[in-house]
Amino acid sequence: MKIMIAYDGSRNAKLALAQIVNMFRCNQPLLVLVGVVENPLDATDNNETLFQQERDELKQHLQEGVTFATGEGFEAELLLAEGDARKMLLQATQKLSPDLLVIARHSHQPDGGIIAKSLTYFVDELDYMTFGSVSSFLARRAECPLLILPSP
Amino acid sequence: MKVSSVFKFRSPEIRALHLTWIAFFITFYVWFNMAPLASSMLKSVDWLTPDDLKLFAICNVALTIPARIIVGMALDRFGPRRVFSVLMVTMSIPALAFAFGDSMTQLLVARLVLSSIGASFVVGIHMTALWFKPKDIGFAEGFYAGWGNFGSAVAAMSLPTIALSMYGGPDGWRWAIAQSAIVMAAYGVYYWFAITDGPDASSHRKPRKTAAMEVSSWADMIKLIIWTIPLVGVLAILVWRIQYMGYLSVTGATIAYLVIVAIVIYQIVQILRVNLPILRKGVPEDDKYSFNSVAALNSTYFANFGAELAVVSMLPMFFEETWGLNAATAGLIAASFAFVNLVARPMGGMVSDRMGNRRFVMLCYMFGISVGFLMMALLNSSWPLILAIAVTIGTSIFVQGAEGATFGIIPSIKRRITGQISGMAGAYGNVGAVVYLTIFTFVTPSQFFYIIAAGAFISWVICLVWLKEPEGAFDDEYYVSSVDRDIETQSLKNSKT
Repeated sequence: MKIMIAYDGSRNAKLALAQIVNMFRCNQPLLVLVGVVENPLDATDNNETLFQQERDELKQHLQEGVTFATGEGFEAELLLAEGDARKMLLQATQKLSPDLLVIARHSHQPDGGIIAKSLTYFVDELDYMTFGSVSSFLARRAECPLLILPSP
Repeated sequence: MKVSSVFKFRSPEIRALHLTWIAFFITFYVWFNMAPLASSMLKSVDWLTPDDLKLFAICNVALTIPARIIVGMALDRFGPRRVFSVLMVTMSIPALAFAFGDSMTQLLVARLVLSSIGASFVVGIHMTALWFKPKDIGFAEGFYAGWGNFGSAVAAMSLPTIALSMYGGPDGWRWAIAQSAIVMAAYGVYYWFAITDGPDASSHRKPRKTAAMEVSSWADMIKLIIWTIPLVGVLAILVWRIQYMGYLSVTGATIAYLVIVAIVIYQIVQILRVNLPILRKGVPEDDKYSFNSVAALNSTYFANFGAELAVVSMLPMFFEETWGLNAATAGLIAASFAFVNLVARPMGGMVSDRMGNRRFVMLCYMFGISVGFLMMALLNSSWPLILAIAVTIGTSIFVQGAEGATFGIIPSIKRRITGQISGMAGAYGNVGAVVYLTIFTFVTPSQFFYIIAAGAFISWVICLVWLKEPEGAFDDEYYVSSVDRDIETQSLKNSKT
């Protein structure tokens, strides 16, 4: 059994990984941690070094995740992609055809005052409407079973 | 980065963003301070004709392209803070010269020199890029571009009122323009002291300097050369126009033509110098990119930003003459076209991000522009004014959204040369403006709108055929492309020696 986990090193992703480890322990699955670095939308060349840093950070996160999973007695590997997170995850499932894809839903905790809150709310709503968020995009298009873990 | 974070004035990068968009805003305000005052100028200066004003409008966008090249070099040497400050202070001189110009030559030359101010866009983009992380940069640059472009709207809204009511009299327009120039110079001085190049001034990140864009195949090099010629070559149109109207002798025109030809030849030589060695060696498969996408985006920016610059320059007069309004009201209404920038341009970038299919979004926008300008071509005095305003706003939502969508695709064509690709596309916006405004000197406003609609439609066809959806890649088969790796090892070697 092969389980693919969208992993970015965030708190939610770590919780999701721990949850999967608990849930599927008896199936002895192979865990594939997939991380996607988004291309910077920069119109200059200035951000190249920063982008590489970000990439290395993500790789580090993925390796930590793999270490954790192997420590728990799982087989685990990582996959790093560059580009649009939604599309790359979709491509990853097509490429490796896992039995299950796991996504931790991002939590949106609006902070700041009333203006900031309502602005954030408005923009997030637009996100959901336009399938902007990774989970809604994949829910529509993924060709393998999909498990979405709500953020606590 | 959330939209709401633009209110966190305490964080240094947000402060830098605000300082920089205001600078860009002021430069745009000054850049477009003539169109809304055109009719006042005609009334108070008896030797000016409407044709002269159309010529000034072309001059107003002419030298932006060479200025961009010079500013680009200066950015690498001095960093955006100094360049922006110096640009604002020096450009207030031709603005003042224009304000108090009392001869045709003085007005013409002042406007020509002042057109360099359009290069401010590039400076601010670089400044923004120094302050923000790759994750937030798209939003920050969209915000910067949208609010900065809004300067032309505020100019159209406020200048006639300032000229007519604050100063009044036949020389009101002079003082209104002078005032904007003085504010700009003052802000330029303030900017020098208020900001640093990036979070820590010591780490002034330099883009790798190359003389010309790299391409991946011989055919692409030919295309690049063909697409490079109009960048400076378009100025020949302006020279011809000035000579035709009798403000330039044949000798002067010939000299100008020769200079333009020399610059074009120099650019082609640079392309050959950069690319011949690369192509002879052969470009590895994983480093190839298609120039067709670049060409397609050049055409979209020609058809959207070029159209915007051109339309902003003629719209106040159009409303004034068609519906018989006074200058202040016409300026206010014409400003509705540029006013939408606040939301429309960032929205174009956002839609492009959200929909997950950037090519499709671009195509929709370009088609929308064609339809919008077709509608504007049908406007005449029998239309109720409110409907005309609605059509104008609707069109400009598409025009500016397409600008945002263009800059949403540029970074994903080939990341290593993003700076050059965006520079070329940006310059094509000005090429578009020069071409459109030159055409405008021969036609009526409604024919003019038909032509812009046709331009947008042609660009739509080019996109349909040439533009590719940007692709991502997986690490295990694609680390950084092999050429990137070579460059890295080279620079490591260089830093060790």
